[in-house]
Amino acid sequence: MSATLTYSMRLDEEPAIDLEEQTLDHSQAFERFLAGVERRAFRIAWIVVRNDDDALDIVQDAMLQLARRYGERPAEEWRPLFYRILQNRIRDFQRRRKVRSRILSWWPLRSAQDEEGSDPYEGVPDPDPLPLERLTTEEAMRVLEDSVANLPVRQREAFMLRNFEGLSVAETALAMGCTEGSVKTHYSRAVHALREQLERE
Amino acid sequence: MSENTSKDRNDLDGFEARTRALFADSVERMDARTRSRLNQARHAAIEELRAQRAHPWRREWMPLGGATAAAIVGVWISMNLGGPSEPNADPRSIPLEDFELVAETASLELLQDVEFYAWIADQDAGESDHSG
Repeated sequence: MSATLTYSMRLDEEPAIDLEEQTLDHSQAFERFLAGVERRAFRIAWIVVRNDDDALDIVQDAMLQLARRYGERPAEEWRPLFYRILQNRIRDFQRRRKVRSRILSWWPLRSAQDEEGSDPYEGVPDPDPLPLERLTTEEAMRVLEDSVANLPVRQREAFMLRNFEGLSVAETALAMGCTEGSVKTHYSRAVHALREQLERE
Repeated sequence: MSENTSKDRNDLDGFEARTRALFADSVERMDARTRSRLNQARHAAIEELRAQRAHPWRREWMPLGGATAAAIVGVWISMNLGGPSEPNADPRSIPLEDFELVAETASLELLQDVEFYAWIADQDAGESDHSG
């Protein structure tokens, strides 16, 4: 009786311990993954939205969505999935900005207030950016950020994912939701456009 | 000809390496406050993963929250706003998915702002009724 009881308890307990260990390993792997991408993801979001709080919200949201929707997927799938969510969030943020201005333009008091405070020259690209080599590192990064932010959306995404984040063509295609051929085309156009802008003598 | 092509390729490689290095440098120079906030965000995501593993059914119900919030914002705006500032503007012409985007903001600050301005408009209307 006693032996049967002990045996049945072990049967019950062992899977629970395994599950706990698996959960721990999985959580640790997930934490390592996020710790490895979070700063670059923040910088990528910041280049587009130009605001610390907004960029942080986007990254935090992408992390939560990854945990919620794809946390159970194999670890090697996390990176392209995370960047796919991040790019979608960045695009949503930009759309939301436009929608908000549409809704608020319908609202008379707020739209007048917004118009007073807005800077008409904000977001206008520098017409003659300096070549990268002649600038200090911080200045060069600022010029590069401005130029990247002004690229067409798909070129910008391809450039940031391939060049900044170092995703492969296949990973970038998964993150952007397009073919590998499109990634190559967008990336090549982005590099040439940036080089033309930034390396002008 | 092939020398030129090779030089162009090298220039391009050099340019890509330079932009990559600039980006890496900007990541390294990130301030402590942002690093700390990213650290907190990461821990929140890990807690979410653990909660998902403990209660997998949560995943199925989560999307309903966003749709409900969008519907509330849409209904509230169409019921409470006064006249449009533009003659052709009509909030009912804004698709539901746009309201969903706005409603997705965690604090729903837009709704709070709109309520505040509606309150001011009511106050103004009340004062002009009394004076007139």
